[in-house]
Amino acid sequence: MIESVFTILSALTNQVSLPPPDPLGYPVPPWILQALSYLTLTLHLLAMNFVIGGSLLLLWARFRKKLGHEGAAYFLGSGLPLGVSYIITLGIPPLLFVQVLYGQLFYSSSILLGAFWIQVIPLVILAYTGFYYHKFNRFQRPRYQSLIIAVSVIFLLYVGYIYVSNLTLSMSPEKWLAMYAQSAGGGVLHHGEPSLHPRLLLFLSGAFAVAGLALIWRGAFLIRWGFAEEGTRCQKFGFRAFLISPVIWALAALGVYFTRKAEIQAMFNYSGATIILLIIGIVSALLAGVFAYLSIGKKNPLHLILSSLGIFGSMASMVIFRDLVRMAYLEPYFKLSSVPVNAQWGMFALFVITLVLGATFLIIYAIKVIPRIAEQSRERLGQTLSVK
Amino acid sequence: MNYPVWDIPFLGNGLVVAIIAIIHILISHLAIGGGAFLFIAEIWSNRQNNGPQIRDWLHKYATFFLVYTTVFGAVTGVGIWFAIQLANAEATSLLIHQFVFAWAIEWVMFLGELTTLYLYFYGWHKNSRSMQVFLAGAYFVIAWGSLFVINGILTFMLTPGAWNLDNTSIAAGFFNPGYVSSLFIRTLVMILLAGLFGIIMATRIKDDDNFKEKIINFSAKWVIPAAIIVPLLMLWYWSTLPANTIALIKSGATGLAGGKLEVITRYFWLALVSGVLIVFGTLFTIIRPKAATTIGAISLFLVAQFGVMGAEFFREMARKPYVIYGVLFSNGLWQYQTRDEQYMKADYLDKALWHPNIEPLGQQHGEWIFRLQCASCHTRDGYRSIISRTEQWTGDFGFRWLETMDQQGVMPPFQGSDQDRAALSSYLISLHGEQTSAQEILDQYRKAQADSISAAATDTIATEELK
Repeated sequence: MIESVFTILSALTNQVSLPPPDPLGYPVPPWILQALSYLTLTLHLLAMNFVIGGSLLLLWARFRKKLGHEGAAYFLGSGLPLGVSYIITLGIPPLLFVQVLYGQLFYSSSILLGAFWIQVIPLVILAYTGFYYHKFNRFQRPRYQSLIIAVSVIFLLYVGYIYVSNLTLSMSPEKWLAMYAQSAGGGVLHHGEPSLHPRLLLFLSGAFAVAGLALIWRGAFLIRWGFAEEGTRCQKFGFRAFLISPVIWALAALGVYFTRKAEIQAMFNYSGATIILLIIGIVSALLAGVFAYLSIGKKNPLHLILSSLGIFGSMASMVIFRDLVRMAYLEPYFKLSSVPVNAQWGMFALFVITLVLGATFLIIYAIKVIPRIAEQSRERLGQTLSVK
Repeated sequence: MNYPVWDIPFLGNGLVVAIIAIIHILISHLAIGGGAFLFIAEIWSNRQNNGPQIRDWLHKYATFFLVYTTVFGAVTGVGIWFAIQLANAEATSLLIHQFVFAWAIEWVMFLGELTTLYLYFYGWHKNSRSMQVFLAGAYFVIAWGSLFVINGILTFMLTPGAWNLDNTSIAAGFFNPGYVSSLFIRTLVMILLAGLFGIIMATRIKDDDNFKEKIINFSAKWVIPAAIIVPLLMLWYWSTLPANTIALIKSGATGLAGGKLEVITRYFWLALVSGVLIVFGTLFTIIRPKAATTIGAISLFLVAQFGVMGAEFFREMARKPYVIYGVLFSNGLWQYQTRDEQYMKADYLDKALWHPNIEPLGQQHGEWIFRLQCASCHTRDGYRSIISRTEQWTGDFGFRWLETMDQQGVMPPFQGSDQDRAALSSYLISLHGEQTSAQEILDQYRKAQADSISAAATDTIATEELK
């Protein structure tokens, strides 16, 4: 029962150093900020999974050197720096809104592992530079290139681990004081939380699916441009990669389950929504796989669009599930409803207007320009393929 | 004092913020000014006979610009955010809760500028000429829009104007007294940096047909006017500063603890001298364009980095002892709390959240007060070292000094009881090897106090007797 878990936690709360929520309160009702977080965090995680999966597939393609791998590697190598760029950009709003919603928890946990938290910055710079270095120098010193990609992806995985560690710690105020007394510089990363590694794996379980799907999309364009053979090859490579994801997801989910059995069971009792979300997540992932398979060899993008939506849905349900877990964990300490709302509707409206105008502008010009950029890829591809 | 203090040996958390911020400010300003440069250079190249040659060069400019600003600029920008959370969570929380949608709007701008830059850069060979000019211009407008937004939050910290905890009007805080002058200064600085970056890229041109000279002349035009006008605008900015800050800059305050605030003046000068050096350096490249080397041009860029450093430290020090002027002190104490004398004199560890159980007046008592009340600005032996500032201290001197430490105008008032002051003083002198226990300091003080009372009493009796 959830109550039993929380009674244990509640018994600890009198020893907890928990800062009060910010006196300014919430600028809009919390559900709006939660919804914005869900959307942007899902997009952030998709970009992240693309980069992690893409780097690993790039390494694999460089290692195996099968027919079609070269083109796939070129495509991934070009896309990775852009992917990192959007990981960062799309990571900003969830990071902003988590500070509004759960600031007093998030700041405390960040400081408690501050020595690691700040490392995120140089590590991301190095990984990002690594991907750009590869992009501009990929035809020189092949072994060295693989090393650079490998190091970059390891850095990013480590960044992911730091994130999971921080956000998990932010839900466990009962651990804080002892950690601070142990290291006031924030030098404890693994705070005795058994589920850290499986949690990280869970958030990365979509890596091969997202990167695989990107390759299937590329294949669809190749087929459309008349390079049917190369396109189908690319799609098959992408689909095989896609199939790794469910295995990783199952391993990660079992890992989380066995390290946090009582809480997981309590979660399902806590809210019926968790079970529904889990089912939606699994079903949309399965559908994504089916549609990805159906799209192989076709130039009509309908199945691909459905498959992409499936991935999005499965990622989004995981994101919402995660927030429910957080709210359940925090119940003895803090409820969103306990914070007053001092509405800033004017500013919110200004934000919505800017967002709508900005998105419209970007979509219009992306539609105008991207086909021309694609045209250039098509010409380049025509040259390389005809040379062979 | 709601949050733990990130206690980093030697560097101190403030310097971590400063290091990241200084790198970021230079790049982020270049990221905007460079947009204007690309836009104007696109138009200019359309009107020149050797347009394609100029655009080939511009492509190199854009390539370096894109990688440099998106990798280092974007990540260090997020980095400032990471660092300020760690260094001052209380202030960050206030800024975030007050300006969350301003930040969200800035994010839309950021997403917009990034994507527009990619459309511009990756569409280089296929887009029409007018599309390229349009995208470069759009990039600049959006990027400048992000400055328009963030400038409100940055200037708010030093000159919150009519904003206070009772009047949390966003407009009052955002369009504060320092807003407009700062916006102009930053706009000019970014134009200057775009020119300096242009000069760096121009020095890499190898040819004989005066192309290098042409590009250097074009780039230099971005540097000189900005470098001359910025000091004038600084005077305007100066007029918006809080009176206390101006007094400190003019006179320089030497704290009893050796905390010299003349450094604030030094940083101000550093910013000015950098400006002058840049003007002369750029003039030299105009006069002798063929002699301009990449190393020389990069050096000028580094001078600009020093200028930014000076300006940034100036801005930070000018805020002393506040993190949000007149509202929140650097160590998390709120200005309104200082009006409650009883609260200020109450036992500190009863109020502070983040410490283990500590024996009063014991060894750890002073250490935890130092960590929670002082370590947000001072390290023990590194940046703003407390050891060097308390070298001459005795336990009793420290005990007395702490009581009035806010009167210099550079430190917040001490929070805590006599016991807390004794414990802190004892801890500070223990850092340079002197051992006087907190209890001894307290006893000494009480004895002195009792002596002076009895002396005063004796005096009174003597006076009475004389009558």
